[in-house]
Amino acid sequence: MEKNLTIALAGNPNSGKTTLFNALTGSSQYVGNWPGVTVEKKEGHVRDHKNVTVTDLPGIYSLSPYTLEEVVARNYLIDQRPDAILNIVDGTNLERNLYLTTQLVELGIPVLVAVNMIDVVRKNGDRIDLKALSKALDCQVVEISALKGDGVKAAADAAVALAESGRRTVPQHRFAGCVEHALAHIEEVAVHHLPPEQQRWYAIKLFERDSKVAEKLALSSDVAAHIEQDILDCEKEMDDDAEAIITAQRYDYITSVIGQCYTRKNREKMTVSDKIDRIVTNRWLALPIFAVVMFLIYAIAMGTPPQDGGIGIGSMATDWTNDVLFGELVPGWVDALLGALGVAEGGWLYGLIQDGIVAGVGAVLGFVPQMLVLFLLLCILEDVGYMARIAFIMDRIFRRFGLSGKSFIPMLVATGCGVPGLMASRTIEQDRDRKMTLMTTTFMPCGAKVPIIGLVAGALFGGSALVAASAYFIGMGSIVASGIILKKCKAFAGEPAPFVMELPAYHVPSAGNVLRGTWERGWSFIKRAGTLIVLASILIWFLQAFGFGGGFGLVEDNDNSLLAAIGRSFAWIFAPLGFGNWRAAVATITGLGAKEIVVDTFGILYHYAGDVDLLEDSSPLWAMVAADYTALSAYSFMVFNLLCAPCFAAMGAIKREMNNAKWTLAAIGYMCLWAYVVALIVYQLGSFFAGGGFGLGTAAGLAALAAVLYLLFRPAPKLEDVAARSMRSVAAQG
Amino acid sequence: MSAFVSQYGGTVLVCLVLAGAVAAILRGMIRDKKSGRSACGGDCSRCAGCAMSRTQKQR
Amino acid sequence: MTLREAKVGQTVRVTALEGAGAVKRRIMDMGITKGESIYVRKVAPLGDPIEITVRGYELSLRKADGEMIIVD
Repeated sequence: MEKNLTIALAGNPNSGKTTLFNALTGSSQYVGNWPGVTVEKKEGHVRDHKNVTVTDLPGIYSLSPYTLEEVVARNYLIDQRPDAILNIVDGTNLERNLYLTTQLVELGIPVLVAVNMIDVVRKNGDRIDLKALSKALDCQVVEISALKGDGVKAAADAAVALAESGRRTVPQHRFAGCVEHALAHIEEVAVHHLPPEQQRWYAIKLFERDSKVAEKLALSSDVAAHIEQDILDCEKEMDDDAEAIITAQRYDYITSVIGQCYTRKNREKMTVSDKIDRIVTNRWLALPIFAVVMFLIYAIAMGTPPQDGGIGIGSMATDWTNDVLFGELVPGWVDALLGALGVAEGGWLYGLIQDGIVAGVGAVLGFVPQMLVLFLLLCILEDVGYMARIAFIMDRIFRRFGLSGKSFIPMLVATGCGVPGLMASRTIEQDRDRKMTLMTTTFMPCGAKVPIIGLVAGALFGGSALVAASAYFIGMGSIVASGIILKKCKAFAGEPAPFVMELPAYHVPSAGNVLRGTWERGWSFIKRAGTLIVLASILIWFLQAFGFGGGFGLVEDNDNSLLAAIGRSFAWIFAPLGFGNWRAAVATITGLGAKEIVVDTFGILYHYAGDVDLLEDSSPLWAMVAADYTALSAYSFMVFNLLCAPCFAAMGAIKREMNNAKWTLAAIGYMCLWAYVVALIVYQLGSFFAGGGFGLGTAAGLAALAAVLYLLFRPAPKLEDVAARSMRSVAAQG
Repeated sequence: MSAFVSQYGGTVLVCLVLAGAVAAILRGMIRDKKSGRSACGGDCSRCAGCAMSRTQKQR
Repeated sequence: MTLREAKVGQTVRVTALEGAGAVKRRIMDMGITKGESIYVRKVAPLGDPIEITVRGYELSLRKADGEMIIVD
């Protein structure tokens, strides 16, 4: 009989749970959210067992009531009572992983233990005696390597069989005498009405003074007082608090289990990873090394191309795509095609296609090579494991300003696309740190901003790697500076959350991972170019092609167009920043749809009529842009667009993560304000030092600089007792 | 009539193709929005940050 | 002394844990319990966080958290 069965997949973070889940379910996954919370829920059917549903629980270390993930996981287990639990355990980290196992077996649900990464265990020369482990835990134990696919099918079949049999696991571990005594009491007076197989788990939780369980059981004050007395007696006897007693004893039990079944080969304490880390995370060298690495990456991706003496491979290709492909070839083909179809060259349709879509989208797609190279290098860096070290190093700097290194991870992700970066902020437990991260993550230059950087660096600075890399550092600097400034405001002040982190070993980057990651990002960019940006181009072209130059109609010079009129109405806002012309203003606004549209807009608004004096070998667009801007005003434009409000998609993500309209507006408002101030300082003080006189603008720039410095260096507000604050913020999490 | 076609036929054809493309793009975008695909183009089930999952350190 | 004061390369034994609530629970959940030995592998640039080996795996902790762990 094919009954519908449910299996829960539980295990530590980084134990390979996701890989196993993917292997078990193939493509039949459904991803959503656990009700009412922003924790991801994944479900799917087991391959070849269509009647069996696997639910992937969030990665957890324990079933304590303190974090969202743990509460979600344990509520699922005790309320939904799946037919079996498949507990995935990292074989290279057995002790810590078994800690969760000891808690899972107390639930009264059948448990199957899958020891993962068995290939690494074997490679290390260690051995795990499965039979002994199985006997010690009273669970079936199987070996798997989820990554390689070994043993996964056997594990799935075993789990299904277990679910069908309903054979409950009986926890084998016992606590110390007085603890068992207290537990027996608690079972008798408080949980006797519950099904027998669940009583022990509830009793242990009550012993630990688990507030959520106490709330759920709604004990009478008599019973509660009675239990409390038992707990106090036990605490006095063991000279420790109840939670600590239980935790310590779990580990004692695990140590004895390990002693019976785990044989470790003696290996030297310094691995190759450690040797590398000695230099890379060295006190004095780490930050300079990081700066040099990032500079090199931008130099290779966007710096001076080889023919001009640099190492910019990305630029070499981009020069070709911009100048040749989209500068001559494509317009030529389109011209031929339209000509053959009899579309008049001076007509609106020709203009729409050639000067609107081709010019706009071409300007954006021209940067694809630079972007691919950049993504490729960043992916390699990440796959090697270097980025984790950066988070580790940054943690100390961040912590001095009240941030946690965990805020760095969204920043890293945002270098691809801001939306997943914002979603990555979910791992930050403290609400106020999370809000702050959401407010600043999109300062990082994402893939869509690469064309802007490429255009400015290419057209006005001859492809300078320094300018390109400066975009990255300005983004990072803005995040750190904003963190410092915001932390000094009442709303955000407080100690950062504890940061407990595992560092994986370095390893050779896998070509598959790197290429796949690069392709994913590159393809999403190209796809967006072919859809959203085409639409935007059409709209913008119409607005700049028609105007009121003596009656409504097609205008020769788009300075007289509708769009120009619209742009001029607010371009003055940007005058203090050095780019108060209508084209820049319009481009900045259209950039809100998607940051690529800034370059797309430029491509359309600066369409050349074929009679422009071109610089030797740069694209026509670049030549026209260079004619309209000074180096400083272009740089200021770049800075503003990098830092100001992100695209609609990112704004939507901020709203979803903040879950609060007021905070979302505050976030966006802050970003725009910061962008304006920084661009103002850059342009005004830059002009002053470049020889322009001291004027009203310079004074404004100085005032802005003074304000920022004050906010950065003023003393932090008085903090209350650290413990009290972190307790309160934990309680506020719910 | 045939004078009209020969003079404007190409233009009309191109217009129709363009309109069709725009409609297809719009339909595709609305469908993506409904199925929850974010504008970054990736689907959120693998969105541990597009291959950044190894850097994702948990608590 | 506290773990914060331990030097790189030292192996120390946990004698007590200060603090309460979520923070202490998290540290214990990761395997740092009374009587357990800790090997101090690395101290990050600028001194914080510290990387330790405990129960056979590597963990990074803030020096501030290290203050809550009393060792000898």
